[in-house]
Amino acid sequence: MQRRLLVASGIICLILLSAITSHAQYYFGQNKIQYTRFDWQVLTTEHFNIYFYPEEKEIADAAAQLAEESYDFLQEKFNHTIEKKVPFIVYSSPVFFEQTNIIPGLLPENVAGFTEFFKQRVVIPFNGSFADFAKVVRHELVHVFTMQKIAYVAKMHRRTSVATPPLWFTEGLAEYWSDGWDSQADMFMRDMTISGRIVSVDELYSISGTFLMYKVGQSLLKHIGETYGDDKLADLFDNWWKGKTFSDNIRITYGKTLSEIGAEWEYDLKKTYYPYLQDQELPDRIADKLTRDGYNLKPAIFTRNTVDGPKEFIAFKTYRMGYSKIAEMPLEGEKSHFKTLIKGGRSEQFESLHFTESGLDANDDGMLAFASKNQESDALYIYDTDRRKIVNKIKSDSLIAISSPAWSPDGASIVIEGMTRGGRSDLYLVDIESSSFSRLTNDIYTDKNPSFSHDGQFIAFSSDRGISGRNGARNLYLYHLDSGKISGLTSGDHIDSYPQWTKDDKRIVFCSDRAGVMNLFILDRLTESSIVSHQLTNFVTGIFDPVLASSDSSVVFSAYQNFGFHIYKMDLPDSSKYDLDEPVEIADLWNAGETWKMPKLDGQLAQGSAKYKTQLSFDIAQSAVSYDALGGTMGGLQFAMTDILGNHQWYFLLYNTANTKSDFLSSVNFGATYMNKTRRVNFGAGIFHFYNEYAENYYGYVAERTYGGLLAASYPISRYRRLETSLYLRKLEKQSTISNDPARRTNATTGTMTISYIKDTSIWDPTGPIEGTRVNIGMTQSVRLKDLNYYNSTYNVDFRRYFRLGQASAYASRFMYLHSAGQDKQRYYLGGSWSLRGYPRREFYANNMLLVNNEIRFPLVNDLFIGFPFGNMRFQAIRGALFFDVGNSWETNKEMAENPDYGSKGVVGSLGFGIRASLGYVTVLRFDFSRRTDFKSVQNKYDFDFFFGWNF
Amino acid sequence: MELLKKTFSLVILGGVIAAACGCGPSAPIVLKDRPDGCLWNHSGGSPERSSYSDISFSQQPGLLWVRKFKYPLHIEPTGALGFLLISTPDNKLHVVSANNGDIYAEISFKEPVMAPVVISDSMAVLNIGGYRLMVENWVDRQQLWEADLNGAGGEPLVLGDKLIWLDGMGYLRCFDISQGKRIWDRKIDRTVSAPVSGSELGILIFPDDGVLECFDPRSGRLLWSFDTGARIRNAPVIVEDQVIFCSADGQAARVNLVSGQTVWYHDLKLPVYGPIASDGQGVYFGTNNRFIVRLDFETGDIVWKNRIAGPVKAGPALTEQMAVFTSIDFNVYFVDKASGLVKNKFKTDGMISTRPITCQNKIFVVGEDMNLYCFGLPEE
Repeated sequence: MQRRLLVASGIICLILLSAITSHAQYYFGQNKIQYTRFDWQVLTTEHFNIYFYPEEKEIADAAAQLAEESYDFLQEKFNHTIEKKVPFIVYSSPVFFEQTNIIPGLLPENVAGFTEFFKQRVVIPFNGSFADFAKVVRHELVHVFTMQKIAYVAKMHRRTSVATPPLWFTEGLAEYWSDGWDSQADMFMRDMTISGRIVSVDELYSISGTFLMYKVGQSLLKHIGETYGDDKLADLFDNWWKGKTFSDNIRITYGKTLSEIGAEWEYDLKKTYYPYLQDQELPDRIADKLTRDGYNLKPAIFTRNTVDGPKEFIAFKTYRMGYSKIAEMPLEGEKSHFKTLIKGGRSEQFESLHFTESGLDANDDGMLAFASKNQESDALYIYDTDRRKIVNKIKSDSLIAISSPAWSPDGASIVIEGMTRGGRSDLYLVDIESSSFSRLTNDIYTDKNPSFSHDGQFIAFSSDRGISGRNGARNLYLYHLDSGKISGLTSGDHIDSYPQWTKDDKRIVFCSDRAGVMNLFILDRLTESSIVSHQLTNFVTGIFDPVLASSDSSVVFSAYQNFGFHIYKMDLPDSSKYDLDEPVEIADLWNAGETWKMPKLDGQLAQGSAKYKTQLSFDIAQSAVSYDALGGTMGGLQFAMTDILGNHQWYFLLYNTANTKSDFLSSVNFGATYMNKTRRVNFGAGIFHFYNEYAENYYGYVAERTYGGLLAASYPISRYRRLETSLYLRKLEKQSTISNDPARRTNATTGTMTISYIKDTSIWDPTGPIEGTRVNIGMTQSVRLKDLNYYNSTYNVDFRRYFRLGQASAYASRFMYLHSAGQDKQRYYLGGSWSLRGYPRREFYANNMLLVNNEIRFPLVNDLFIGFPFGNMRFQAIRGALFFDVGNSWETNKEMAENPDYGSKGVVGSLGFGIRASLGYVTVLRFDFSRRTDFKSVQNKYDFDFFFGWNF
Repeated sequence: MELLKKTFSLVILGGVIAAACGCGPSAPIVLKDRPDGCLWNHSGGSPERSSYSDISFSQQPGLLWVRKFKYPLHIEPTGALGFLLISTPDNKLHVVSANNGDIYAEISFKEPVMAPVVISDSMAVLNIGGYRLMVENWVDRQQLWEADLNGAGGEPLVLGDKLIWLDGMGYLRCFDISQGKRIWDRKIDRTVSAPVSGSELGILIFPDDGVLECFDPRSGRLLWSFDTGARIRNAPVIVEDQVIFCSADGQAARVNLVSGQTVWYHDLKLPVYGPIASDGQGVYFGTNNRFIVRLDFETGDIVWKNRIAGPVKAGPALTEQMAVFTSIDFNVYFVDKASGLVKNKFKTDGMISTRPITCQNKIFVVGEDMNLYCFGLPEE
């Protein structure tokens, strides 16, 4: 009986609660907000349906052309033809992409695109760069081909299950066949090899899901492709049905084990990269490393008046503790002083600091300019480093994204890289006083890293407008503020970026990968019409974000080494150390005619476009039948249907709990819910009928039938806060099957209104929240529909706060109060590992509950791998906990209050310690050792409890 | 004569069915005559395996009939005396009439047949599951002998009374085809993707490292080797004492089979994954990057090179006038040999990853859409 209750309740909860909002099913959770309602259209080509909105038609055309080109390329690589048109959903900006309903969860910021498994929808944003877009299109199509090819081969050979490819392989293959080997990939592999920490093929699980895994996978696949031929990779897929595991398939195809191929690859890496150390250096051998922890980028120099006089400080971005920040330190480094200025991802004001994409800049007055996401679009913030507060915030109605601000020398304006709703990335000048935006460039080319000259006449910037820009090359250009003209400073099929002027405006320091990986270069403006560039550094890994300090005598930059980014400082190198390039005439470098065009869709490929029509298709369908010796049989099915964009969602549940044929009709349970997520307010409606028999502490054995309908809505105030409300109209018939007591019988038709306020700023570690706040405050009110008289009500307050003590440690507290009143009260269980520890689960049962938890969480073991006879098990994080819980549960029903089993036992508590072992995304194993207290004495012995589930 | 042929065929059929029932004629039938012009499906490179048939069509052949199977067809069929031997993923080998597609017999195995069946007279050589080499008299269904393949995926080479095989442990083995007695073994210490090929003049191995080796069929002794600088993954073509191959990296070459001397070598930059074909005047192949090509047999120069819609995974079949290509773009292309122009294109419902074969003045194509297609001219 109880098992059926568990299953039935679980199903009901899942279907109803999950249908309301994707976040409500988690009781807390952060919000994905549909700020914008798009007017979707569909462009049909030979192999794709491209979903787009009118503002991004140009991008959609390019996507269609790129997709068809990639299709041809991958058809040859995979030896496979995809018959059904692939759905391709394009967003003109990462900001809009994050609003997609195709997957329910929040998308991390740096996701460049994804391929959804059920309907194999490809969803990608345009980030301003055509070359990046082309790579992502192909990358995602590799996933489509991979999934379809494996499924096809399995079906053709009558295999119901085949080996699953490891993530490093699928992502590595996607990178290999889309990216080409670039300086960034080379940088990662150089560092990994030279640091002596090559991740072998047997250890790839340890970097699963990281960016490093992508590059290591790409390197491995590149080795395999170049050594054995890409045609062999096609053979690998054709052989997929033969082996039980991925390793079997490798052996069958290549005649070697994966470990053997891995060993070849490692040897190849060493042969390739070790010789670099002959002539090149590592950053920490030449420069002073200023930061100690985390990932650190985007330094900016500002001056502060101190007691010792004016002193230079570095503001920079750092990622530590699970979120990004802007921090400051002196030029000597963070060991002498480190202060957090702004926290990103912790509040609505600074929802995302765009850690890798956007730089910082400070002017002579110590005003720091940076961009951050604030609600739907980015805002430009000015932060006073002396007063340590925000002094200005500027937004534009037409710009969805802002990045890399740079001050003008007079401090009256800031040049930014801005992105429009249509996806165009251009330079804009922001007037600080009037908060107005003037557009400087207006074209399809991406313009990045602007930097004002000190005389205020020019802006140097990096752009892909040159002839090689279509392939991702970026060179340096000058914007002439007096005329609006653009002239070239560098050229070539490589990346030049981050220009920084010297104080006399005669030279520009910049980064370039023209010599392999990113190094520091300098441009000397010999005359008005000719320049020459010199290489200043010869690091074996890469350096970025240079900024000049100490009157141009030193340079501060970020560099990659030992799997991390840190800030370094060194004296500006002598430009005569390395070979000189030949001087070039500026006029020869580039002119506005030498550029590339956005590809237009070949007329033969286009089959027309039309307005988007909502058409539902299955996402998932499951059925199950179970038999219980006590409970009897139960069987049912559930399925979900959505449209291509995920905006319209239908959930259906149907099952039967009958024990006999005569009960069949009366035991039908069904639920149907519809959710609309096209707007900021997500709303839904549903109908249901449930019948169940189960055991319950107050009613005893109960037969309960409830049926009715519901309306629900959720309004996200911000990413972190939302309001939810719902209205249920239902008939409830409930009676004890073992007692005729009228008090244990309910027959009511009620209307119930619920309203909740939820806030969640939590950050998690593998075992649960470790920083932030979670709040859920709500109430329900029910009335009898026949006379609108009060029926019952509930109130809940759940307030949780997590105070960070260290990287993996925190003090966590929870205050929870639950109360129910009126007829047919709800009663709450108290006790167990999830609530009041030291007491059995469901020890207390009453209509009032109060619980206070206090816990210190700390790390014990970071990674534990145990080999069992049946296989290996990995515990990613083993944490310890010291806790002290207090609880009380009391009953207002007189009869129950007098029952020793249910009446209040007064305020009780427990203290103890626990161990939590994370099993990845699956669950957490919980081991608690507790001693009870009634606050008069403390129990001598420890009670042990084992359970599972994440920390509160 | 026609009646005699039909009677003879019925006798064979009766033998097959009777054998399936456990009884049949006591002696194998010697099938030296090939009155119907069926192309014996020997492994790549043997002289008969040039894929050229002297079938001539007075006009453009059209679709005559289609036979639906229950499973995708991805193993090349074998033509034998008016029948086609077609294997399917349900571990069966079907004996199908080349006249009308009727299925005369189904032979079941424990594992699927992994490579095209090789016929030598009444003997069928089968790769079962990649683990067993089985030689069976396909007329009376008597299993003659079997051997362990250790995971080999390809087709064997039959030269007269010898059966040559490269097994999954890297051994080149020569057997007496009728008794299964091992004649010689030779260890090949390199990874090989291309099937074994050759003629009485020499057995050719194309390892993945591109060093072509020729062995004496009588003893397995190395006769010569030649660094092709290329990765060959398909069957070359042998015309008399000349062997022509095309590589996955885009090279094409003609080599004297006796001396190993290069006659011509070109870097065409045309990746060829499937087998090639020759009629002694031209060399024909399709490429992975959507080209169909004819080279001049004597010089290796490109005679024509035309683009089609899809990649070509398998080689062409040749008739007097035409080269018939298949593609994973679902199409069968009928190409004029002289000009390279596509005279006709037939769209199937699935990818085609095998060569067409010719039998009884017809062209047969099996597709992954589960269909067997028969093209030819209607009988008057």
